[in-house]
Amino acid sequence: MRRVAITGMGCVTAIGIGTERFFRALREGRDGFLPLSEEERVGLNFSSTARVDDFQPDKLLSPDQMLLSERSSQFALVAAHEAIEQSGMPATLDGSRIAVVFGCSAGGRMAEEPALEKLYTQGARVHPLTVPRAMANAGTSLVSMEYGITGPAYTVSTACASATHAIGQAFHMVRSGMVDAAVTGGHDAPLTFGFLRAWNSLRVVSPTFCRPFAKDRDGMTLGEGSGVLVLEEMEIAERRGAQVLGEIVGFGMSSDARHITQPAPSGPAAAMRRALLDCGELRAPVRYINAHGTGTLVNDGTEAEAIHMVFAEETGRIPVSSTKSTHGHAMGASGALEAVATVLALQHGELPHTAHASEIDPELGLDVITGEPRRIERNSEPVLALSNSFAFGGLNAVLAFRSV
Amino acid sequence: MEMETIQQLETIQQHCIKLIATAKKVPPETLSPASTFDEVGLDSLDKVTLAFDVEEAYDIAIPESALATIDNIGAMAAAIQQAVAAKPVTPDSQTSTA
Repeated sequence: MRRVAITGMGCVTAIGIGTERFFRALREGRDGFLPLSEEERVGLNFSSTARVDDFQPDKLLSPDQMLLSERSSQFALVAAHEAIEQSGMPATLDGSRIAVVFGCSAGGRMAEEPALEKLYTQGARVHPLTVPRAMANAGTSLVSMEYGITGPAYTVSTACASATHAIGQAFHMVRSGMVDAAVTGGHDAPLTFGFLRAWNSLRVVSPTFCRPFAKDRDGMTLGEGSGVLVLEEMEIAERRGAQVLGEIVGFGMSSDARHITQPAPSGPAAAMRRALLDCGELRAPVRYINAHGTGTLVNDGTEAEAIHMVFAEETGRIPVSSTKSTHGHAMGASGALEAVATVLALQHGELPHTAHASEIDPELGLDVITGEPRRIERNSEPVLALSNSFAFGGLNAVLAFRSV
Repeated sequence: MEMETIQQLETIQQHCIKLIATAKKVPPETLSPASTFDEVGLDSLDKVTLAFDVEEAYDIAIPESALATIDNIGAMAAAIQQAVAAKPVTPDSQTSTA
């Protein structure tokens, strides 16, 4: 069976642009939660979001790209640039043998919402570039245009699991031989006036700050960002001397088929089991779970239950953390940020901790990493790490990464 | 009067040239009213964006049927002039005909 190497990664996050700054913030447990202005927080039960504060797209993108894009797809272009630069891929591969698969949940709201607000309140004309800027697949299209990628290219939208579904699909395409490489991940920039209020109404956003698995957890912190991975067939990557950062060896999906917002443990458990089964002969001991860990009462409880269903008595020996405690819940991009975090963890042999979670909920029965990062317990044998993403609508996706 | 100035065809032509030159990143002096959209490299998305820009600038509406037949800068300027001329002059005149 063909193996799938990760040869490049890039990210735009609330805790840093670029994987180096991202990893440093994860190690330090430094969050990117920024206060909303007085005006922004009117009518909200929360007062901060995980925003990318220092993003200057005009310094990174061409005037044509600026004209055709908005914040979400700009994040994708910048993260893809970093990932592709690191991999050195485009110079060596035929564009028709490369895929682009991104996850995006909200689409280009930064283009659409202000335009519609002016339309509804002032009867203003809507700019003709509103549609191309706001379409959810804009990131995929702009990246394929920039790098001359002419293979399969599409965008997956499964709410908070979008990027994980996208990476899993790209992984399967490379493994099956449909393509030799893929640029994959996710992007979202949904923090508009309307979006914040829609989430406020669901009463799942923390009035304080996200602290997954904590006894006193009280919700998620909304965020934004992009993560991109370059996947390549292992032999091709090795032949051209690419640095292999990690390997994807398994992907599992499931649907709860129960409730539009409330998760059931059986669906996440099935996705984890299927991801492990998908590893085949590359299966190795699981030494880390990067949890979906939103910080809501219900998600974290259900996820813990699902982990127990899969790992039974082994559960207490598997370190778990949620990096949403630093980069926030970047919606459709979350799975991509967490995939990058997981690969970095395996690469450096150091598991990120769950920031802010000082007292872990004992009911959960999990070994949650807190306080500081933890070294991976391993000999020279490869180990696995799972990255979980569970979406509203009960759609679950789990990736299995293997250390190099 | 400012409105009278705007309505002068030459001014409108120069305005169109400026918009297209900016969009296509070409020197304005390389364009003239006779320049066709094909020559300038204006694709369908550029054309609807130009229509949006002039509709905003002159507060007019260019009908689809007219836009479909416009293929050069001079024709675009003429369509704008026609639409501007067809606009009611003042709110009072609108009221009196109501």
